[in-house]
Amino acid sequence: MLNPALVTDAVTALLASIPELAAAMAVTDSSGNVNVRISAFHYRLGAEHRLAEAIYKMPAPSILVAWDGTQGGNFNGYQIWKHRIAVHIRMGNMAGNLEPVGYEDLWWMICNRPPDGASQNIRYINILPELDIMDTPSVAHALDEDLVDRFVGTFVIPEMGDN
Amino acid sequence: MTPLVDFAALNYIFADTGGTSVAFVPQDGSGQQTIQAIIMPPAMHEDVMGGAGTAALRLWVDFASISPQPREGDLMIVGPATYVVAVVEAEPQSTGGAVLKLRTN
Repeated sequence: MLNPALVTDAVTALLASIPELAAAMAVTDSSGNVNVRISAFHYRLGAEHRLAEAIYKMPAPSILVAWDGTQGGNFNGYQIWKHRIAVHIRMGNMAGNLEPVGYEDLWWMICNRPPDGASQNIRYINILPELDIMDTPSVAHALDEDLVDRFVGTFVIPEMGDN
Repeated sequence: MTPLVDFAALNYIFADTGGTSVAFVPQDGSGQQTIQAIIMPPAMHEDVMGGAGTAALRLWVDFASISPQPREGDLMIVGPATYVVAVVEAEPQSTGGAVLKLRTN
């Protein structure tokens, strides 16, 4: 089985390479540096916050990509692992923005806009050579501890063979 | 019904005594102003003590006395950190206060 951390990192890098999405997640700090807030979460006790806290602490805007589990089974002749990757989305402050980018727009960008240099969107890309293209992704509404809207998308990505 | 204690009339004392100075930037373009706000515990405690540096912050303010009144999308600058007002929870009118739920911008 492929290490899910590699899948998480690969999805994160691919999302960050979608130009429209990266622009929506870009923030300029006080020094003038542009920071694209699309990052991966890994379960590293002591080095990372627990996932719930990391989600709660997500600034607006930002995207946090985390492994949500792996389903084992005999899905067809050559797929026995399906990696489930959660894409936690928090939109930015749109007050006064004449062209607001909302959750609908962000999910559309994720699903439909091709990464930089690619001709197809993330749904039709082999994110890693060992991975098949993903199952049709889903997204769902969620509320954080302050009852603020957020969304979480789910990618289910089959692995080819047993690596 | 007339409240037994007029809490709203005492709000400025609470804010001035227990509050910290916060820069309030309304989105209506009326310009930045300084208000007094009391830092409250967030929904989920973080590993930094409440105040500047946390990702989410709650402020109690003397809502009725602030003009314009804060609303979602306004900015609050607490120390070096800029926050956006994500939720405004106004208290009953008799207290005149509100809790602002902020998130790092």
